Amino acid sequence: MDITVRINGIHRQFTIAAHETLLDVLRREGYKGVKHGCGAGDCGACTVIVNGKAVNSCLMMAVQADGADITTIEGLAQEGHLHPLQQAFLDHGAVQCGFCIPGMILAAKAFLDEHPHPTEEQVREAVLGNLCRCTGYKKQIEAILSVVEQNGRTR
Amino acid sequence: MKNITAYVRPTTIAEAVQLMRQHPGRGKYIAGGTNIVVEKDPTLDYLVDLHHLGLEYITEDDDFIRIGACTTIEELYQSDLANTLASGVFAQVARWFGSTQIRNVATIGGNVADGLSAADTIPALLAMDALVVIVGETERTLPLTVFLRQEGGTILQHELIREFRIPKTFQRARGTFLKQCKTHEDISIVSVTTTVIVHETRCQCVRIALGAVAPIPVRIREAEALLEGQIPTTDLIHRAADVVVQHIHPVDNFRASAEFRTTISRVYTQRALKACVQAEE
Repeated sequence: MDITVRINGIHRQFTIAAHETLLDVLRREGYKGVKHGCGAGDCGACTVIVNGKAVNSCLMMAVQADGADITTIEGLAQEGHLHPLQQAFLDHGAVQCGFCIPGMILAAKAFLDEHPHPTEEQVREAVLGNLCRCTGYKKQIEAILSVVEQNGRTR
Repeated sequence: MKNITAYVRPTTIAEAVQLMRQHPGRGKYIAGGTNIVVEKDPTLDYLVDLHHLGLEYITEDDDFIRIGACTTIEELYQSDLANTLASGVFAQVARWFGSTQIRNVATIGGNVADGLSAADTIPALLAMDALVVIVGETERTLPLTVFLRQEGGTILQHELIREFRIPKTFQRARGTFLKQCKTHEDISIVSVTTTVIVHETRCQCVRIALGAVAPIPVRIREAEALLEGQIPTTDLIHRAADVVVQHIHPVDNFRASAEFRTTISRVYTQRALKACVQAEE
Protein backbone atom coordinates (compact mmCIF):
# COMPACT_ATOMS: atom_id res chain seq x y z
CA MET A 1 0.00 0.00 0.00
CA ASP A 2 1.05 3.61 -0.50
CA ILE A 3 1.17 6.46 1.94
CA THR A 4 1.80 10.12 1.25
CA VAL A 5 3.51 12.29 3.83
CA ARG A 6 5.20 15.62 4.12
CA ILE A 7 8.67 15.04 5.55
CA ASN A 8 10.75 18.05 6.48
CA GLY A 9 8.57 20.14 4.22
CA ILE A 10 8.84 17.86 1.20
CA HIS A 11 5.96 15.77 -0.16
CA ARG A 12 6.92 12.11 -0.44
CA GLN A 13 5.06 8.97 -1.38
CA PHE A 14 6.17 5.65 0.05
CA THR A 15 5.19 2.13 -0.83
CA ILE A 16 4.94 0.22 2.42
CA ALA A 17 3.78 -3.08 3.81
CA ALA A 18 0.87 -3.09 6.24
CA HIS A 19 2.99 -4.47 9.09
CA GLU A 20 5.77 -1.88 8.91
CA THR A 21 6.35 0.73 11.59
CA LEU A 22 7.10 4.35 10.79
CA LEU A 23 10.62 3.73 12.09
CA ASP A 24 11.15 0.91 9.57
CA VAL A 25 9.97 3.07 6.70
CA LEU A 26 11.84 6.24 7.63
CA ARG A 27 15.16 4.46 7.97
CA ARG A 28 14.58 2.52 4.75
CA GLU A 29 13.88 5.79 2.96
CA GLY A 30 17.18 7.24 4.12
CA TYR A 31 16.30 9.15 7.29
CA LYS A 32 19.07 7.54 9.30
CA GLY A 33 18.92 10.16 12.02
CA VAL A 34 15.87 8.29 13.31
CA LYS A 35 17.47 5.64 15.50
CA HIS A 36 16.37 2.14 16.41
CA GLY A 37 17.13 1.94 20.13
CA CYS A 38 14.81 -0.39 22.01
CA GLY A 39 12.05 -0.82 19.43
CA ALA A 40 9.56 -0.88 22.32
CA GLY A 41 8.72 2.76 23.00
CA ASP A 42 10.93 3.05 26.07
CA CYS A 43 14.10 4.86 25.00
CA GLY A 44 12.88 7.60 22.67
CA ALA A 45 15.82 7.33 20.25
CA CYS A 46 13.28 6.89 17.46
CA THR A 47 11.39 10.09 18.31
CA VAL A 48 10.06 12.08 15.38
CA ILE A 49 7.53 14.91 15.27
CA VAL A 50 4.21 13.92 13.65
CA ASN A 51 1.64 16.68 13.17
CA GLY A 52 3.39 18.75 15.79
CA LYS A 53 3.63 16.02 18.41
CA ALA A 54 6.67 14.03 19.51
CA VAL A 55 6.01 10.31 19.05
CA ASN A 56 8.01 7.09 19.20
CA SER A 57 8.19 6.05 15.55
CA CYS A 58 8.88 2.45 16.59
CA LEU A 59 5.35 2.26 17.97
CA MET A 60 3.55 3.97 15.11
CA MET A 61 2.35 1.81 12.26
CA ALA A 62 3.57 3.46 9.05
CA VAL A 63 0.00 3.49 7.75
CA GLN A 64 -1.00 5.71 10.66
CA ALA A 65 1.34 8.38 9.30
CA ASP A 66 -0.55 8.65 6.01
CA GLY A 67 -1.24 12.30 5.31
CA ALA A 68 0.90 13.46 8.20
CA ASP A 69 3.42 16.27 8.52
CA ILE A 70 6.64 14.71 9.83
CA THR A 71 9.86 16.29 11.06
CA THR A 72 13.07 14.33 11.49
CA ILE A 73 16.40 15.65 12.70
CA GLU A 74 17.46 16.02 9.08
CA GLY A 75 14.85 18.73 8.72
CA LEU A 76 15.94 21.02 11.52
CA ALA A 77 18.84 22.88 9.97
CA GLN A 78 17.72 25.52 7.48
CA GLU A 79 20.03 26.42 4.56
CA GLY A 80 23.12 25.31 6.44
CA HIS A 81 22.18 27.04 9.67
CA LEU A 82 21.69 24.82 12.67
CA HIS A 83 18.47 25.09 14.63
CA PRO A 84 18.99 26.91 17.96
CA LEU A 85 18.51 23.64 19.83
CA GLN A 86 21.19 21.92 17.76
CA GLN A 87 23.57 24.82 18.29
CA ALA A 88 22.85 24.89 22.02
CA PHE A 89 23.54 21.16 22.38
CA LEU A 90 26.93 21.68 20.72
CA ASP A 91 27.75 24.83 22.68
CA HIS A 92 26.92 23.15 26.00
CA GLY A 93 28.84 19.94 25.37
CA ALA A 94 25.60 17.98 25.59
CA VAL A 95 26.59 15.38 22.97
CA GLN A 96 28.75 12.35 23.74
CA CYS A 97 28.07 9.34 21.55
CA GLY A 98 25.22 11.19 19.90
CA PHE A 99 22.79 8.30 19.59
CA CYS A 100 20.01 9.75 21.76
CA ILE A 101 20.46 13.28 20.49
CA PRO A 102 18.19 13.41 17.43
CA GLY A 103 15.27 12.06 19.44
CA MET A 104 15.92 14.34 22.37
CA ILE A 105 16.24 17.47 20.24
CA LEU A 106 13.02 16.67 18.43
CA ALA A 107 11.20 16.01 21.71
CA ALA A 108 12.49 19.34 23.00
CA LYS A 109 11.54 21.14 19.79
CA ALA A 110 7.99 19.78 19.77
CA PHE A 111 7.63 20.81 23.40
CA LEU A 112 9.07 24.33 23.02
CA ASP A 113 6.97 24.97 19.93
CA GLU A 114 3.90 24.51 22.15
CA HIS A 115 5.36 25.86 25.41
CA PRO A 116 7.99 28.51 24.68
CA HIS A 117 8.43 29.61 28.32
CA PRO A 118 8.51 26.50 30.48
CA THR A 119 10.00 25.87 33.89
CA GLU A 120 13.00 23.57 34.27
CA GLU A 121 10.71 20.91 35.73
CA GLN A 122 8.49 21.06 32.65
CA VAL A 123 11.52 20.73 30.37
CA ARG A 124 12.70 17.66 32.30
CA GLU A 125 9.23 16.14 31.98
CA ALA A 126 9.21 16.84 28.23
CA VAL A 127 12.37 14.80 27.59
CA LEU A 128 11.69 12.13 30.20
CA GLY A 129 11.07 9.70 27.37
CA ASN A 130 14.53 10.19 25.86
CA LEU A 131 17.05 8.00 27.63
CA CYS A 132 20.75 8.79 27.50
CA ARG A 133 23.35 6.26 28.60
CA CYS A 134 26.31 8.64 28.31
CA THR A 135 25.65 11.94 29.93
CA GLY A 136 23.43 12.11 33.01
CA TYR A 137 21.23 14.69 31.26
CA LYS A 138 22.64 17.79 32.99
CA LYS A 139 24.12 19.50 29.94
CA GLN A 140 21.20 18.58 27.72
CA ILE A 141 18.75 20.23 30.10
CA GLU A 142 21.05 23.27 30.34
CA ALA A 143 21.18 23.45 26.55
CA ILE A 144 17.39 23.39 26.24
CA LEU A 145 17.01 25.97 29.00
CA SER A 146 19.48 28.25 27.24
CA VAL A 147 17.19 28.20 24.20
CA VAL A 148 14.23 28.98 26.46
CA GLU A 149 16.17 31.94 27.81
CA GLN A 150 17.02 33.08 24.29
CA ASN A 151 13.33 32.87 23.37
CA GLY A 152 12.52 34.96 26.43
CA ARG A 153 14.99 37.65 25.48
CA THR A 154 13.74 37.92 21.93
CA ARG A 155 10.07 38.18 22.96
CA MET B 1 3.02 -8.08 13.65
CA LYS B 2 5.00 -9.37 10.72
CA ASN B 3 2.03 -11.33 9.48
CA ILE B 4 -0.30 -8.35 9.26
CA THR B 5 -1.51 -8.28 5.68
CA ALA B 6 -4.33 -5.79 5.97
CA TYR B 7 -4.67 -2.48 7.77
CA VAL B 8 -8.15 -1.06 7.38
CA ARG B 9 -9.36 2.41 8.22
CA PRO B 10 -13.15 2.45 8.59
CA THR B 11 -14.95 5.75 8.81
CA THR B 12 -17.99 4.60 10.80
CA ILE B 13 -18.30 2.53 13.96
CA ALA B 14 -20.69 0.16 12.20
CA GLU B 15 -18.10 -0.45 9.51
CA ALA B 16 -15.40 -1.06 12.13
CA VAL B 17 -17.51 -3.60 14.02
CA GLN B 18 -18.47 -5.37 10.82
CA LEU B 19 -14.81 -5.64 9.82
CA MET B 20 -13.96 -7.16 13.18
CA ARG B 21 -16.78 -9.67 12.81
CA GLN B 22 -16.32 -10.62 9.18
CA HIS B 23 -12.76 -10.02 8.01
CA PRO B 24 -10.94 -13.32 7.49
CA GLY B 25 -8.30 -14.25 10.01
CA ARG B 26 -7.55 -12.80 13.43
CA GLY B 27 -7.72 -9.07 13.92
CA LYS B 28 -7.57 -6.38 16.58
CA TYR B 29 -8.71 -2.81 16.91
CA ILE B 30 -5.82 -0.35 17.03
CA ALA B 31 -5.96 3.17 18.37
CA GLY B 32 -2.64 4.54 19.65
CA GLY B 33 -1.08 1.11 19.29
CA THR B 34 1.37 1.54 22.15
CA ASN B 35 0.48 -1.89 23.55
CA ILE B 36 -0.26 -3.76 20.34
CA VAL B 37 2.84 -2.68 18.44
CA VAL B 38 5.09 -3.60 21.36
CA GLU B 39 3.45 -7.03 21.71
CA LYS B 40 4.40 -7.92 18.13
CA ASP B 41 1.80 -10.70 18.07
CA PRO B 42 2.61 -12.92 15.06
CA THR B 43 -0.87 -14.46 15.06
CA LEU B 44 -2.55 -11.21 14.01
CA ASP B 45 -3.65 -10.98 10.38
CA TYR B 46 -5.25 -7.55 10.26
CA LEU B 47 -5.72 -4.33 12.20
CA VAL B 48 -8.76 -2.07 12.28
CA ASP B 49 -7.78 1.55 12.83
CA LEU B 50 -10.06 3.57 15.10
CA HIS B 51 -8.78 7.08 14.37
CA HIS B 52 -11.42 8.03 11.82
CA LEU B 53 -14.53 7.38 13.88
CA GLY B 54 -14.82 10.71 15.64
CA LEU B 55 -14.10 9.24 19.07
CA GLU B 56 -11.55 11.82 20.19
CA TYR B 57 -13.36 14.34 22.39
CA ILE B 58 -13.93 15.53 25.93
CA THR B 59 -17.37 17.07 26.40
CA GLU B 60 -20.10 17.34 29.00
CA ASP B 61 -23.84 17.22 29.38
CA ASP B 62 -25.93 18.06 32.43
CA ASP B 63 -24.96 14.93 34.34
CA PHE B 64 -21.71 13.56 32.93
CA ILE B 65 -18.27 14.38 31.64
CA ARG B 66 -18.01 12.35 28.44
CA ILE B 67 -14.64 11.20 27.17
CA GLY B 68 -14.32 9.63 23.73
CA ALA B 69 -12.41 6.36 23.69
CA CYS B 70 -9.76 7.68 21.29
CA THR B 71 -8.89 10.62 23.51
CA THR B 72 -5.16 10.53 24.11
CA ILE B 73 -3.62 10.50 27.56
CA GLU B 74 -1.92 13.82 26.74
CA GLU B 75 -5.29 15.36 25.90
CA LEU B 76 -6.61 14.15 29.25
CA TYR B 77 -3.53 15.63 30.93
CA GLN B 78 -4.13 19.06 29.40
CA SER B 79 -7.93 19.13 29.57
CA ASP B 80 -9.39 21.74 31.91
CA LEU B 81 -12.78 20.06 31.65
CA ALA B 82 -11.58 16.53 32.46
CA ASN B 83 -9.61 17.90 35.39
CA THR B 84 -12.65 19.47 37.00
CA LEU B 85 -13.16 15.90 38.23
CA ALA B 86 -11.68 14.85 41.59
CA SER B 87 -9.30 17.82 41.84
CA GLY B 88 -7.52 16.89 38.63
CA VAL B 89 -6.95 13.19 39.22
CA PHE B 90 -6.59 12.63 35.45
CA ALA B 91 -3.64 15.03 35.34
CA GLN B 92 -2.08 13.15 38.24
CA VAL B 93 -2.48 9.85 36.37
CA ALA B 94 -1.21 11.29 33.10
CA ARG B 95 1.88 12.80 34.68
CA TRP B 96 3.03 9.26 35.57
CA PHE B 97 1.86 7.61 32.34
CA GLY B 98 4.90 6.77 30.24
CA SER B 99 6.47 9.71 28.45
CA THR B 100 5.18 12.58 26.33
CA GLN B 101 5.82 10.45 23.25
CA ILE B 102 3.63 7.66 24.63
CA ARG B 103 0.91 10.01 25.91
CA ASN B 104 0.62 11.74 22.54
CA VAL B 105 -0.71 8.56 20.94
CA ALA B 106 -1.93 6.24 23.71
CA THR B 107 -5.67 6.42 24.30
CA ILE B 108 -7.88 5.98 27.34
CA GLY B 109 -10.00 3.50 25.37
CA GLY B 110 -7.00 1.37 24.54
CA ASN B 111 -5.75 1.43 28.10
CA VAL B 112 -9.12 0.22 29.38
CA ALA B 113 -9.85 -2.25 26.57
CA ASP B 114 -6.55 -4.06 27.11
CA GLY B 115 -7.68 -4.67 30.68
CA LEU B 116 -4.23 -5.19 32.12
CA SER B 117 -3.53 -5.41 35.83
CA ALA B 118 -1.34 -2.31 35.86
CA ALA B 119 -3.47 -0.12 33.57
CA ASP B 120 -3.27 3.35 35.09
CA THR B 121 -6.47 4.94 33.83
CA ILE B 122 -8.72 2.17 35.12
CA PRO B 123 -8.41 2.86 38.87
CA ALA B 124 -9.24 6.54 38.35
CA LEU B 125 -12.30 5.61 36.30
CA LEU B 126 -13.35 3.09 38.97
CA ALA B 127 -12.88 5.74 41.65
CA MET B 128 -15.33 7.99 39.79
CA ASP B 129 -18.07 5.42 39.11
CA ALA B 130 -17.42 5.62 35.37
CA LEU B 131 -19.82 4.14 32.85
CA VAL B 132 -18.56 2.73 29.59
CA VAL B 133 -20.49 2.88 26.32
CA ILE B 134 -19.70 -0.03 24.01
CA VAL B 135 -20.88 -0.62 20.48
CA GLY B 136 -21.31 -3.94 18.71
CA GLU B 137 -24.46 -4.94 16.91
CA THR B 138 -26.17 -2.69 19.43
CA GLU B 139 -24.96 0.02 21.74
CA ARG B 140 -25.06 -0.44 25.49
CA THR B 141 -23.94 1.47 28.55
CA LEU B 142 -22.68 -0.33 31.61
CA PRO B 143 -20.74 0.38 34.78
CA LEU B 144 -17.01 -0.09 34.36
CA THR B 145 -17.12 -2.60 37.23
CA VAL B 146 -19.37 -4.86 35.12
CA PHE B 147 -17.29 -4.29 31.98
CA LEU B 148 -14.06 -5.50 33.61
CA ARG B 149 -13.52 -9.19 34.32
CA GLN B 150 -12.23 -10.20 37.74
CA GLU B 151 -9.77 -12.62 36.18
CA GLY B 152 -8.36 -9.86 33.96
CA GLY B 153 -9.42 -8.43 30.64
CA THR B 154 -12.85 -7.16 29.71
CA ILE B 155 -16.12 -8.50 28.33
CA LEU B 156 -15.41 -7.04 24.87
CA GLN B 157 -15.59 -9.43 21.94
CA HIS B 158 -16.27 -7.72 18.63
CA GLU B 159 -17.42 -4.51 20.29
CA LEU B 160 -15.44 -1.35 20.65
CA ILE B 161 -15.61 1.34 23.30
CA ARG B 162 -17.28 4.55 22.22
CA GLU B 163 -16.90 6.68 25.32
CA PHE B 164 -16.65 6.90 29.08
CA ARG B 165 -19.17 8.81 31.14
CA ILE B 166 -18.22 10.14 34.56
CA PRO B 167 -20.88 11.51 36.88
CA LYS B 168 -20.40 15.20 37.57
CA THR B 169 -20.85 14.40 41.28
CA PHE B 170 -17.11 13.82 41.27
CA GLN B 171 -16.42 17.45 40.50
CA ARG B 172 -17.05 17.89 44.20
CA ALA B 173 -14.53 15.20 45.18
CA ARG B 174 -10.87 15.46 46.07
CA GLY B 175 -8.84 12.85 44.23
CA THR B 176 -5.33 11.51 44.75
CA PHE B 177 -3.36 9.14 42.53
CA LEU B 178 -0.16 7.61 43.87
CA LYS B 179 1.98 5.31 41.77
CA GLN B 180 4.95 3.23 42.82
CA CYS B 181 7.28 2.50 39.93
CA LYS B 182 10.99 1.94 39.34
CA THR B 183 11.39 4.91 37.05
CA HIS B 184 9.09 7.76 36.21
CA GLU B 185 7.91 6.27 32.95
CA ASP B 186 7.68 2.62 33.98
CA ILE B 187 4.69 0.35 34.59
CA SER B 188 2.99 0.51 38.01
CA ILE B 189 4.25 -1.74 40.77
CA VAL B 190 1.25 -0.54 42.77
CA SER B 191 -1.11 2.34 42.17
CA VAL B 192 -3.65 3.75 44.60
CA THR B 193 -6.44 6.13 43.59
CA THR B 194 -8.81 7.59 46.15
CA THR B 195 -11.65 10.06 45.76
CA VAL B 196 -13.50 11.54 48.71
CA ILE B 197 -16.38 13.96 49.08
CA VAL B 198 -16.48 15.39 52.59
CA HIS B 199 -19.71 17.05 53.72
CA GLU B 200 -19.88 18.75 57.12
CA THR B 201 -16.80 16.89 58.39
CA ARG B 202 -18.08 13.43 57.36
CA CYS B 203 -17.23 11.33 54.30
CA GLN B 204 -20.21 11.47 52.01
CA CYS B 205 -18.59 9.41 49.27
CA VAL B 206 -15.37 7.39 49.35
CA ARG B 207 -13.78 5.39 46.56
CA ILE B 208 -10.56 3.42 46.87
CA ALA B 209 -9.14 1.72 43.77
CA LEU B 210 -5.85 -0.11 43.37
CA GLY B 211 -3.91 -1.14 40.29
CA ALA B 212 -1.32 -3.88 39.81
CA VAL B 213 -2.38 -5.85 42.89
CA ALA B 214 -4.94 -8.14 41.22
CA PRO B 215 -5.56 -9.49 37.70
CA ILE B 216 -7.49 -6.26 37.01
CA PRO B 217 -7.61 -2.94 38.91
CA VAL B 218 -10.10 -3.20 41.74
CA ARG B 219 -12.19 -1.11 44.10
CA ILE B 220 -11.96 -2.15 47.73
CA ARG B 221 -15.56 -1.62 48.83
CA GLU B 222 -14.99 -3.02 52.30
CA ALA B 223 -12.49 -0.25 53.02
CA GLU B 224 -14.76 2.38 51.49
CA ALA B 225 -17.63 1.21 53.72
CA LEU B 226 -15.50 1.72 56.81
CA LEU B 227 -15.18 5.41 55.99
CA GLU B 228 -18.54 6.31 54.48
CA GLY B 229 -20.62 8.50 56.79
CA GLN B 230 -17.74 8.75 59.25
CA ILE B 231 -15.37 11.49 60.28
CA PRO B 232 -12.08 10.55 58.54
CA THR B 233 -9.72 10.40 61.50
CA THR B 234 -6.14 9.23 61.07
CA ASP B 235 -6.97 6.09 63.02
CA LEU B 236 -9.92 5.28 60.76
CA ILE B 237 -7.83 5.89 57.65
CA HIS B 238 -5.18 3.50 58.94
CA ARG B 239 -7.84 0.87 59.61
CA ALA B 240 -9.19 1.34 56.08
CA ALA B 241 -5.68 0.78 54.71
CA ASP B 242 -5.47 -2.44 56.72
CA VAL B 243 -8.75 -3.57 55.18
CA VAL B 244 -7.38 -2.80 51.71
CA VAL B 245 -4.40 -5.05 52.35
CA GLN B 246 -6.70 -7.90 53.39
CA HIS B 247 -8.51 -7.74 50.03
CA ILE B 248 -5.69 -7.61 47.51
CA HIS B 249 -3.67 -10.45 45.98
CA PRO B 250 -0.42 -9.03 44.65
CA VAL B 251 2.08 -11.28 42.96
CA ASP B 252 5.85 -11.59 42.87
CA ASN B 253 7.34 -10.56 39.55
CA PHE B 254 10.48 -8.99 38.20
CA ARG B 255 9.29 -5.51 39.17
CA ALA B 256 8.54 -6.22 42.83
CA SER B 257 7.69 -8.85 45.39
CA ALA B 258 4.19 -9.43 46.69
CA GLU B 259 5.41 -8.39 50.12
CA PHE B 260 6.65 -5.05 48.83
CA ARG B 261 3.44 -4.46 46.95
CA THR B 262 1.46 -5.19 50.10
CA THR B 263 3.50 -2.73 52.14
CA ILE B 264 3.21 -0.02 49.50
CA SER B 265 -0.54 -0.60 49.15
CA ARG B 266 -1.01 0.04 52.84
CA VAL B 267 1.18 3.14 52.97
CA TYR B 268 -0.11 4.68 49.75
CA THR B 269 -3.73 4.10 50.75
CA GLN B 270 -3.04 5.96 53.99
CA ARG B 271 -1.30 8.79 52.16
CA ALA B 272 -3.89 9.10 49.42
CA LEU B 273 -6.83 9.21 51.82
CA LYS B 274 -5.07 11.72 54.04
CA ALA B 275 -4.31 13.92 51.04
CA CYS B 276 -7.98 13.80 50.02
CA VAL B 277 -9.40 14.70 53.42
CA GLN B 278 -6.81 17.19 54.64
CA ALA B 279 -7.57 19.46 51.73
CA GLU B 280 -11.05 19.86 53.07
CA GLU B 281 -9.89 21.50 56.28
